[in-house]
Amino acid sequence: MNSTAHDSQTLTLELRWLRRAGLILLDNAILVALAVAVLVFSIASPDVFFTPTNLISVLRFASLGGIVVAFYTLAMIAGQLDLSTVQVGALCGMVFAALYQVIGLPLLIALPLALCVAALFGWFNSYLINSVGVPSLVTTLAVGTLAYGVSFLILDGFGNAYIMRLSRPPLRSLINTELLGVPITIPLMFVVYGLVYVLLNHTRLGAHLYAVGGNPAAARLNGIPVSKVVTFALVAVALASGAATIMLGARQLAVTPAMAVLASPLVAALFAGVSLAGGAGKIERTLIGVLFFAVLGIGLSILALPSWVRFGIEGAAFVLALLTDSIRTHLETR
Amino acid sequence: MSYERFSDVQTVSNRSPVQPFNTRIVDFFLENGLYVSTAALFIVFAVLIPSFSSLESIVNILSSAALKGIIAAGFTIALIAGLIDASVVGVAVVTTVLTGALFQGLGWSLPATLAAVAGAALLMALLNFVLVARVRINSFVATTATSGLFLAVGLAITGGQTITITRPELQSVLLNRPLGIPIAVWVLLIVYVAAYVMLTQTRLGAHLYAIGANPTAARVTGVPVGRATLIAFVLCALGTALGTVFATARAGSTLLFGTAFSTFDLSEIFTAVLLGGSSLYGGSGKIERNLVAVLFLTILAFGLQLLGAKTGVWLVLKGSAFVTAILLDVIRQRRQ
Repeated sequence: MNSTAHDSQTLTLELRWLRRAGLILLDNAILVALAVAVLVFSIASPDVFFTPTNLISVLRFASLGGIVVAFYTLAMIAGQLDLSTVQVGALCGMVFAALYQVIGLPLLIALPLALCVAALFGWFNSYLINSVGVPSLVTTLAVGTLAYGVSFLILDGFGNAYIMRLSRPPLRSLINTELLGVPITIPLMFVVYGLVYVLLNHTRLGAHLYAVGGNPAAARLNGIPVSKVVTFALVAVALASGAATIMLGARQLAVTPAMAVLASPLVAALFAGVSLAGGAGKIERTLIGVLFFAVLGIGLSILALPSWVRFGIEGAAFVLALLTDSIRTHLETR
Repeated sequence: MSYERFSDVQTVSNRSPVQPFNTRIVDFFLENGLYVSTAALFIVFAVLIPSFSSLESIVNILSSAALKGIIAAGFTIALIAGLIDASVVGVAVVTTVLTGALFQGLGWSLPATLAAVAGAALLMALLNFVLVARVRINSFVATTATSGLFLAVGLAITGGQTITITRPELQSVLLNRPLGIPIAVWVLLIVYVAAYVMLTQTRLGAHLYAIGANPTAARVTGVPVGRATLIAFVLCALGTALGTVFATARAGSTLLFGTAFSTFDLSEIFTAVLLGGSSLYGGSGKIERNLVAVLFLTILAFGLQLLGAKTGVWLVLKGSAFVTAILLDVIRQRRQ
């Protein structure tokens, strides 16, 4: 009798250790993945990958998508999954190209107007979620379809076949400005992550975001303005996506309705350990996840693998991220 | 006794004998708006375009509706069971690519190809089932992930190339027209009749509605939740595969699903199913109404195309229809 009790006690103790070890491993999985990816690509192509020029291009590649994922993390922490970021971002880019390139408005008027369109669609998402009560996944799918359609309307009105030029002078030199020897978008990304870090960890709004994502009903009972917090998160994602798409368009001298700064910010954020269920996630880990995906993207393109391998790796990463998220939730709730 | 009285009170307070006029109008439109607007749309296009109401054009509309209609049937069955299966696009990619690669590339016979396609659909449904029912991931997110995975598999099989199908059997069998109506339309009708009977007359149908409405209550009352979930995923994947095989035969080559040139995407299936009155939240939906919703969208697409409308107009209308369908679903939920 006594010995069985003792046994079960050691067993639970052992299980507790296992669980803790599992959680520590899961917490740092993304860091390990980043290290492994850097190591693998450095060995696979030693004279190309691990050079200062290439590392800067990895960071440059990461920067714009990284800005979107920073805000995506914020929305996911508030429990909102936004499937419309790509379409709304592209629409913002199209509106900007129409206003700035075709109509010829000054930059300081065209930019805010285009960002207003992005904010409007972000607000529309939050309106459908808050007032009508539709889950964010479906709402944002619908709003994304609508934004994609509006992009094509703009294309029909101002552009040609599938593309809108964005080559009016000061833009490209602005985006390619260098600061301390690196392209300006790299320090911009780090500044954004710094600001989001402070917002999430040291402000009341940050605490509200976690509370709303963790348990909206409890948050409402505690007097947190839930719908305002949700609106803030979705408008912020839409604005970030729009701004990043405009910057990408400026770099590539064109925008299209299907242009994506990052094909799936959801996968990137999930892979970096932001919980699907909301209420949990750390922005510093997201940064590491973004760097990991950039290393993977640049590394794979250096190795010149066919496109389906890239699709396959992305799909597998998504499934893997879902599984780790589910395991983490399982371990934490036990 | 007291129960009866309670329910009497409920009935009286909820539905007074004379309903206000506008409540009745809203009810009428929620119930029949789809039929009215589909008919109206057809009449408008028939007036604007002389050839629109010809028999050939109607047959064309019907057989083009068959792809989305058959996929929407499976999607609705899953949705009734509370599962959102976003992997229909990935399943369609694998199906079209497998059909091309096995039938044309390796020269398999038609039955062998179809069996292989069905087997692949079963495997994909099984993966969805494991992630959703065993690992317990939200069905929409899990199937979005697997859809990406299936897309990669499809691309890997062909290396992203389109396969033109030149062997005649596929088209001679699948594009046959018994009694003047394409076989795809017959299959569409059979699928809907079978699904209707399954959902309304069988125990399985009752189970699907039960787990969609309240999975916990269903489990407690002894509904085999796991088995019904698996069947829902399997029917959805098989429906998608079936619709895609017909679409592939019709196009005479593998189709570019999952790309910007795709002939259908998830949002379109969603729009059709929600316009048809199935609920996002599971547990309710009438499959026969889907057929009308699919016809509505197909007539809209055909008419706009014949009128020479720009892509943007069609895409915006499609997006607005999606948002409207969601709003209608919510209104319907609130009134019940």
